[in-house]
Amino acid sequence: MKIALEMSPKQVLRWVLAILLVWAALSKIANLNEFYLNIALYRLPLPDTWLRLAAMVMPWLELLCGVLMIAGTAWRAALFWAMILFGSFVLATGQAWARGLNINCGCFNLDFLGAGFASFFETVKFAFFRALLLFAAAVYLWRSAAESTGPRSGPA
Amino acid sequence: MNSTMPEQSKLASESAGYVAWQAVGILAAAVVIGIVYNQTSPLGVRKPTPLGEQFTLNHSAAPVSSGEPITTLQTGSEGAKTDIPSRDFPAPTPHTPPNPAASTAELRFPELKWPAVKALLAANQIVLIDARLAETYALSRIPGAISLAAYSPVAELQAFAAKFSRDTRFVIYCNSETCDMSHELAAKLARQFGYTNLALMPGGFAEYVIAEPVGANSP
Repeated sequence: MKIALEMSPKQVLRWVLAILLVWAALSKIANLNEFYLNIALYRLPLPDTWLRLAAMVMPWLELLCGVLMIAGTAWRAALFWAMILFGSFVLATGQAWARGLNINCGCFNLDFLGAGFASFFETVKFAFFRALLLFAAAVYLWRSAAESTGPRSGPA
Repeated sequence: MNSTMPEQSKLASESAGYVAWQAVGILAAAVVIGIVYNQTSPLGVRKPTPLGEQFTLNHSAAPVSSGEPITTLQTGSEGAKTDIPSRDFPAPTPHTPPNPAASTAELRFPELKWPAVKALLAANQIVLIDARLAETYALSRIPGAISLAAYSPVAELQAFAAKFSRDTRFVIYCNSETCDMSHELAAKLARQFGYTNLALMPGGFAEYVIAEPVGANSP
């Protein structure tokens, strides 16, 4: 409890992003094929091989980033990838929303909320704004981190 | 002051390089772990199956309707776990109409595992419904399943109901154990359209992928 109270707002924000990344990763890793089918529905102008590779790699990238950001080890590199991931989510959900695709975001496992809530929170419109918020938070942390210059400086 | 500026700049540059190498390392680790895990996971990424390759709709002309309930439809906290071996369809049991007052969450339906569903499907004794999004169904599905998304517009549900008699045996699936869409659809069919022979395949498409690994895990 004492440790939590000593955390700076930036550290709290980093932990929130990290926990979300781990949560998203675990729900995808549990069923990679389902995740692949979900991202295929985005109809991104990418070859199918790329989509399959993304479905294999992205959940592990999320997990590694989340764990490293929590651990405070190589956290700036992890934050860099988190920023890339959130940015790609913004683009993917944004184009799906703009094209009027009626699909589930496939971002988190929200079934514990019940089917109605889960289907709302997984709509691409909601997912777009959620991704935008997370991307903005990651960019903010990245810019803040850039102010520190030490190669092995501690967490922000 | 002037002497510290270049030092800070150099330090920042070294730091940026260090972070860049760390980022490359994280990506490399994710690629290696992801590919290795995908090869070992029964739910790894597999190629989609276009409709033309495996889809056969053999129920539209002659809906399956024997009048024999799969098992009783229940309300309450105890769901029925039914693993029906091939051809050994359960003896007819009087069904209990769904309680209109029961919430969707309270409705319970018999549950079948893929081997039982496979046998019933092969014997043309059931209609298998894919409750996922139609777009997902178009990408990949259990052979012989028809598509009826859980959140289909009422008009689509009505059109579906017009095709199948009320005693048709339906087995409904969605993604996996964590998916509620099959239960949602079963509840709608029971309460809004009076279907009584409804069962779920809780393992969903994931259970099928694990059990029928043809072409599975191919990157």
